[in-house]
Amino acid sequence: MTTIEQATVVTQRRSRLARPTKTTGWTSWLTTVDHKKIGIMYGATALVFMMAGGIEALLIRLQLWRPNGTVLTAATYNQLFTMHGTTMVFLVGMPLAVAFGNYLLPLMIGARDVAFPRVNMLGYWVFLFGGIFLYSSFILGGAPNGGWFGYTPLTSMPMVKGFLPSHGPDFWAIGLIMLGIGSVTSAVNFIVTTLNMRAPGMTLLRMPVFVWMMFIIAMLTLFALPPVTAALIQVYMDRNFGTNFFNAAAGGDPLLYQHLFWLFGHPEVYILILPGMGIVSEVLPVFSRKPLFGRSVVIMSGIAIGFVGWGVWAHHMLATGLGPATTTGFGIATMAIAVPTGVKIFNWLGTVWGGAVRLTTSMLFSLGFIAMFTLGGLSGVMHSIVPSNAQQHDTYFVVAHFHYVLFGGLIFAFFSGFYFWWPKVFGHFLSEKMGKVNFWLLFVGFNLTFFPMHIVGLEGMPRRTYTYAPGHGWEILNQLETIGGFIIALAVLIFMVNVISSRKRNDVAPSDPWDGRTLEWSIPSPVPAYNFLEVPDVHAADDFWHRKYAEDDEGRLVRLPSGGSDGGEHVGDGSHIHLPSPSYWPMVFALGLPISGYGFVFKNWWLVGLGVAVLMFGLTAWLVEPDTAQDAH
Amino acid sequence: MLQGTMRRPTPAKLTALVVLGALAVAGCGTSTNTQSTFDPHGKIARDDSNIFNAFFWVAALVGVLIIAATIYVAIRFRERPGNENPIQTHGNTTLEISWTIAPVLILAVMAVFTVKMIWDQAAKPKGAMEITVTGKQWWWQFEYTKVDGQTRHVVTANELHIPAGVPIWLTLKSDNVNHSFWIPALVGKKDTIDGHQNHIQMIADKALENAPEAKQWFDGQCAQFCGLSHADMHVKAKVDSLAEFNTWYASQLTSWTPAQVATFKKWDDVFTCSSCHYIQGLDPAVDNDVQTGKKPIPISRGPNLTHLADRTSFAGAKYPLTADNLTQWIWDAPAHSAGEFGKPMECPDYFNKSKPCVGMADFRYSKEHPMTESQANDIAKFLMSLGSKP
Amino acid sequence: MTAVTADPALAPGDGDAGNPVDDHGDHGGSEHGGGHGHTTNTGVSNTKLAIWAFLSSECLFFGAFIASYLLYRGRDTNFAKAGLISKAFNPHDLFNIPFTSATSFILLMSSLTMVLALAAIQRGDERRFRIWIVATALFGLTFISGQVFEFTEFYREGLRLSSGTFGSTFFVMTGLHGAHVTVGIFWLLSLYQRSLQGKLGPEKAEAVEVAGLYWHFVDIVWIVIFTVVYLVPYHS
Repeated sequence: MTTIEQATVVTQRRSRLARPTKTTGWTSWLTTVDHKKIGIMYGATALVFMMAGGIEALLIRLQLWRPNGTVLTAATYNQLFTMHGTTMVFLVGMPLAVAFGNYLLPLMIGARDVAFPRVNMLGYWVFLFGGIFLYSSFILGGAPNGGWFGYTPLTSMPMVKGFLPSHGPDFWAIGLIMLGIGSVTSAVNFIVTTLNMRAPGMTLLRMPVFVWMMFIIAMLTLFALPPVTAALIQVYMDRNFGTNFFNAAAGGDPLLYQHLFWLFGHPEVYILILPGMGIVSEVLPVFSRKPLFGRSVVIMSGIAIGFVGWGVWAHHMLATGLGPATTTGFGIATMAIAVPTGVKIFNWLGTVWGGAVRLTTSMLFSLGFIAMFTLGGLSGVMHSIVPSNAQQHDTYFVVAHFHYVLFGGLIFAFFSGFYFWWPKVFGHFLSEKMGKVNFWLLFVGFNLTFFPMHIVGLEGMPRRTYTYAPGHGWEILNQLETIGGFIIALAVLIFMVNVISSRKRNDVAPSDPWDGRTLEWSIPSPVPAYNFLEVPDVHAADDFWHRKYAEDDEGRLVRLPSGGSDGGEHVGDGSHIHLPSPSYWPMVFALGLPISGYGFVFKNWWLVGLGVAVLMFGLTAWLVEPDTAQDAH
Repeated sequence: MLQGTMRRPTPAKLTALVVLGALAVAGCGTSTNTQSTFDPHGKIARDDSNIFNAFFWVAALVGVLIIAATIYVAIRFRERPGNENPIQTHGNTTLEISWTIAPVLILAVMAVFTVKMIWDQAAKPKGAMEITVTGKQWWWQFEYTKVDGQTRHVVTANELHIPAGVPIWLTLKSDNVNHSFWIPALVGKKDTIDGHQNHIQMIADKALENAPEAKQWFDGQCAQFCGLSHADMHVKAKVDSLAEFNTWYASQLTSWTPAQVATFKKWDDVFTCSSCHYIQGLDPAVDNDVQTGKKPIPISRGPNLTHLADRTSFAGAKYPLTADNLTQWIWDAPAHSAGEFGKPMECPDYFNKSKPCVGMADFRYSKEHPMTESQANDIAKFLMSLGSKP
Repeated sequence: MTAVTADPALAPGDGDAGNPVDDHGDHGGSEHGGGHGHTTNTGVSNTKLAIWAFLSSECLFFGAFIASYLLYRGRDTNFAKAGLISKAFNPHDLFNIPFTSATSFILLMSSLTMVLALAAIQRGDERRFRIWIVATALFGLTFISGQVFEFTEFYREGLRLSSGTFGSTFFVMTGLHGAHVTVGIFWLLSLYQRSLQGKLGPEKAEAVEVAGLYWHFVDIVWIVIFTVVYLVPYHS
């Protein structure tokens, strides 16, 4: 195996481009290539953006507190709902999934890092700079204001024509292209890592369900981002260079945009929700002390969702007049995708059934996920009834639906994951007491905010409206929603307090605090830089569990005498394990993108050139820097 | 098909009320809601509502069962002394197959009804009245292209008059951004997209012809985000008896008298109203062609103002038509709307090319065309005095 | 720990045991390179798997533009009327098919020289490798020069980005393809430069192979674009 002697041979030639060596201190975070640190950075950054998106939501709710609200102007409101959607999808949902994936995927398959650590780092910096780029639009002449979906020709008509008279849509198009680059690099990394870097014996079907779901979303990302990137380039060109992709007067077709966008946008929905399903599939077995019911069926239905997810995009366009044949097809495909989704729900319930349930905060969030996601799924099936969709489409009913899926589903799953893996990542527990308060407040606040939206939508309130007239009976429901919104904010605040106070309290966690099943629980908490002192030899799915437990003749759980979370395998300090050295250059490379981005927005070609120069400099340095630090050993 | 079993008023709503008591109070206040899908008054909206209700109950049942099961397993199987080591079940093929097939069966039934209704609603009804709807920023234009016994088209804005019980075939289009036409109590929504023509059928209940007038008005709203004033882009539908409708239709075809035209011209010369607004009778030559049926009523960039006084609202049906409201709007429209009406498009397509196009400008502050409030008031009063009703 | 020894890709070190060079010859930051003689779970090196994944993603990128082009194909029938171009519009009036066929042929030939370059580096013939890799880059450069000439000609004839949908789809799609070829030329030249520095031996053949995969992909995309844009007749 790779030992220190062999590894040192590598660095023979001295280089001007020495790699950084520090692995502690705050500066080390800027240059780290450690998948765990990058995962934490993804998570922390995404949580900051979640605050921003949440504040936008609260302002929206304040404006809608009563009819003819005067808290916000229409122009500001449109910026806020556009940025709320864009933020929650691209700067919170996707990056949080990547955060969990980054941290856990290598651990769960028994690897010491991802396949391309520096590309991984690049992905993070592109995400951060892309997010800052988008938010800088607020002070640079107006934030995006055409909706997160950015339908043409509203967004694509040249600025002088005045449909959206600001640089907002340009920021939006360029920012999303940038974030897409980051997402595709992460996806490639996850795919290669999953396929190539599994520990011996970790066959594909032995991989944890979470890894499977991350693999599927990586595949979806790989194929979903290019169509929207193309569409965004077309929007940008239409807006700034007079092309006619979406200009009907010159032969273009505004509907083409919707096809390209939703060809991305619907797989995107699954890109967002599958990680949640993966997290829940890991949490439920641990706190039920039972294996995941129908494990291979859960994986297969994930794959099925991944495939069928490509055939339902036009159900976002059922009101665009696609014709009865097309709407029939997409309506039925949408019904079909409910089947694998339903199967998963039943399997999760089957997992808990007959188990020994510990209602930890993490478990509560996972159970909450099942209930809330089910409601979101059912209202989703209602949309596939095309005639009834004609009434629900673009109303608050739809807003309720996808928040049940993405908040009641995904965000609940993320919270479940936070409470579950926090001790592994940081070496101390989050307070369970505050966690329970966190859960119940979030649960109540969530339902108070979003359940009334079903009703108010069917009572005729359209989405994306900055105001509403009195007299339709929408007032009280909107007030309940606003109150609910602030309860959600309180719940998130309690989570933040929990994070800070738990760190102070430092309730030290052992390596296997929950009696876990997957490989990450077999190594110390927090995880050492090298992950595994010795790369594990895997013999079964949930391998770590089977090192601790056997089953008797009735199938009842029996603890093995020698089994335990802290076996003798962690002897040694791991100093002989050779790790990739930190690097400056992926960040420099990433920095080139927003510089060019500003150039494209303001049509300043010097700035574009400067950005490209920075990017090329970063890339060149990256390619010629030595593979290890001069004194890394 | 479903009507027989689903006659009860609004079961979905009632259930929602039962589910959340507090919300029930809120939901109850909707008896005056003229923009609700819970209270359909047309065939299409009722079909939509019936199929929704039927499967709402199925979904509600499934939802309640799953949530109940989630709560049950969480409580029933809590870890207690003695059950720390449960039996390890890994799966059950029979169960897996049955809970795959069960939803497939439910969905198959749902698909049959759905598909039938999709095709039913897509068909053009025989002998339908035809109206072309154009989504504008931010108002609706209606052009009656085929009305029984009429050769001439009425062009109006924001308020749609339709006869009760008569099938209507709407053609939906746009010459700008996307909009979505939606009157919840009468018909589900469909988008208007530049370069496309969409169609929906709409039939208001025959029974409405005898309803009191207040019950004959329905509200709708643009449902596709279309820019700054999206939230202010409303539409109203008035369901008439056939006789009422015919009277109304005939009244909309009339033109201004030369005296009225003369009065208006002195404002038009300054404020160039007619560069965007067509007024029947303003140009006698054009009007003659229209009256003799040689040409249809020209489509102008802004709403046709000839019979503004017969409407109840203006500016995308946002404001009730009162002299005060109209005065303020004429005097300083930008102060009363989120988006700028008419102005942003650089007027590449203004209607009367002999006059410059300024959009609904803030004439109040205009240097080139300064307007006093009393002038605005005169214009408003004049426009409102031209109604066909006494 | 024999299992680990058998699977060195698991050790995330850059150090490639028994391969004492300091630069992996990777591009785009492969830390592992999935070096020679090592096995990954799939048997395909990380870098190669990554480039395949990336290229499959690129297929959809170009696919979106080609689909847009096909959707709008033939919609612009009368540009003279719109004052956009000097004559009734049929793209074939603009095209110089023999010229574009010639540059397309040169681009195709560059795939052949790319294969020869890879073969040369694999058998350790660094001199021939440098000849073929430069030839490939020059062929690519010829193609790009042809494209620049063609764009200039079309512009002179009156075709603009804003000329209906043909101008929009044609310039943006072929322009993005040209940008990909340009990136490829830089990539090939960087390999040439590393070879000159003596840092690109046979053990680094994979770096050439990966660049080659990209180059062949860009060629194949051009075959599709050339066919749908230039060869299939327009009916106006």
